[in-house]
Amino acid sequence: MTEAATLEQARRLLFDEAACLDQRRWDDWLALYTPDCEFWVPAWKDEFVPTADPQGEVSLVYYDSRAGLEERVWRIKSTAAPAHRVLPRTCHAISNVRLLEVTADGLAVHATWRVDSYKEKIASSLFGFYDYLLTSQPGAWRIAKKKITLLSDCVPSYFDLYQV
Amino acid sequence: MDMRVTETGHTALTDPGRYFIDEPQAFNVHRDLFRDQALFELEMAHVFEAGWVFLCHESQLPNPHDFYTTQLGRTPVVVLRGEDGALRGFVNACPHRGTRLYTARHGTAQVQMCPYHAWCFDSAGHCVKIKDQSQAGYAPGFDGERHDLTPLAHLTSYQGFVFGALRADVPALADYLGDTRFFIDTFAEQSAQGMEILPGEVTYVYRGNWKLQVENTMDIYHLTTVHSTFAKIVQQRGEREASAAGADKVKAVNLGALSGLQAGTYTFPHGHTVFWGSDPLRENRALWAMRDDLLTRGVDAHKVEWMFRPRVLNFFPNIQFVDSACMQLRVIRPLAVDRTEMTMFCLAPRGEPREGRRRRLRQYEDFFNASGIATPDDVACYEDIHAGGLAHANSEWIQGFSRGMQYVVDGPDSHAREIGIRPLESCSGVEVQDETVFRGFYREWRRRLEAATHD
Ligand code: FES
Ligand SMILES: [Fe+2]
Repeated sequence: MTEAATLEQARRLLFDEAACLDQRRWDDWLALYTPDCEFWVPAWKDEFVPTADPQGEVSLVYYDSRAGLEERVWRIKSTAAPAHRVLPRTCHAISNVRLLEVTADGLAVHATWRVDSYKEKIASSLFGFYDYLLTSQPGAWRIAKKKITLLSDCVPSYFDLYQV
Repeated sequence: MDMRVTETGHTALTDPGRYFIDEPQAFNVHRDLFRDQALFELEMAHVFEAGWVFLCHESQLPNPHDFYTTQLGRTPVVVLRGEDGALRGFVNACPHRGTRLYTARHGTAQVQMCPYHAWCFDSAGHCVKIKDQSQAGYAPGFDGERHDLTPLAHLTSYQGFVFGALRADVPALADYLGDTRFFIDTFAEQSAQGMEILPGEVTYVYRGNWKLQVENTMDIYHLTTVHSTFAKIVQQRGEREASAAGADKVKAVNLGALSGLQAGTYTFPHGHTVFWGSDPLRENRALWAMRDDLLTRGVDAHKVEWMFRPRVLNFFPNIQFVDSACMQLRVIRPLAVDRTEMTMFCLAPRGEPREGRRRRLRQYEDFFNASGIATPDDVACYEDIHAGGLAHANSEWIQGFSRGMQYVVDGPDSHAREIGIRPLESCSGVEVQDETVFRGFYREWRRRLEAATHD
């Protein structure tokens, strides 16, 4: 496969994921991840340096399997959580998608993102970088790792995984 | 309806007492405390800027020339560790024109230069250089003036927790903390090397008054409603583990397992309050692996026992220690009457085994932060209180201080006597979910503002 074609496949997966979240197709979103995926949103040590070791430093979110994502989806669907009484409308914008490396493990992909959220007539946004490891499964690419660097880490009220 | 308070938007607080009904069988707080802009300014001046406020932990500035910036009410503050290793606190502003000097959250600077006219200050707060001074033609008296940074009136640590005060007339820190020191010790003495704040701090800003956060952390009554999804998720993890479908690597506090167990609250002088509970699953705590170590090290057995009880300490006015699954520190910074900044820190005993550290972090992220699966639900409720309860035409008085009133005793109860502490009031029993403990905070609030208006 040419590099351009590989990049196009990666872009398609990233955009599909964004569409799942913005359209609240939670089960389709989960299906994009491998069962043993890593999902990580580091916190920041100071103005410039995010935390680097999820086993020794604080993260905003860290899961080392899809079970954590499944809990989040269960929680959203339960409609019992005050934070999810009114789900915000969200809009993921993903750009600057770059293929960093093609290895035996899969594709290392970097992108920038911004998610605008709108709830009860108030708009807010979060933005940052994505670092993905995509793996080829029979029939489709899946997400083996996703690291979300949240640049705007003074959070308005709170957020969940569909807002980053 | 009690008509003692009907107007809002007043310019001066003549009688703070009119915002409270404090009678033997009734305690109510007026909603203006959460929505009146003029009151907010007064509490900045007389609560935050007139007493002790938590600033940072010593582990956040370990080496000579390290600095840490924070706020003391409306005043930006910098804590400096000098060449000599001592900590000093200053107003974070250049004496020349008032430019903020230290802009990073924390860092290291042997000499800090003001960006405006390049006056320089060392890590003891001394002005060490005034740019182009020799030909400047300053008035003769200039040399005799003080050009150093403005020091805080007080800066003192207890167990590594650094507190500061802008005014000289505050009680000694040890007296201010009083018997709550027993509980601070149950955090700080978990390791022989003390404790540390783990790298990675998280900040969020909610649309609501800061006292909603003060109440919430002591409010046990809300757990089974607000955190029902959290409790269910913890239960589901247990079931998954039992069916061997996947290990529960987090081991969060199981809210469902807490019913039918002893719990209680204490109110201390100066507005500090404590909640404690029981934990039937104490072997799930990261600290469990260090338990033998604690006992052989000679830590008081009562203290070790209390290290495994869920504990919440609320220090007047703005810090909260929580040790439910993991240890954490919440610092409240009021920004406006209806806007509050929260900063969260994960605390850990130094030298903890790596597996314990890993589990501690997962427990912390699970519940807390703006991104957890529990704290966002609290924040959503504060914003709903702001939108509903504080609406102008809603009733004047808040009713949330009565639960447990029949169980409150003056002075220590048997649990307190066992550990030799003397709270002003105690309340304990099975499933008390006591609300009367909030009163200690409001009584101190009232005392501070009354003292200010009688000055
Ligand atoms: S304001 Fe700092 S040197 Fe002028
Ligand atoms: Fe809560």
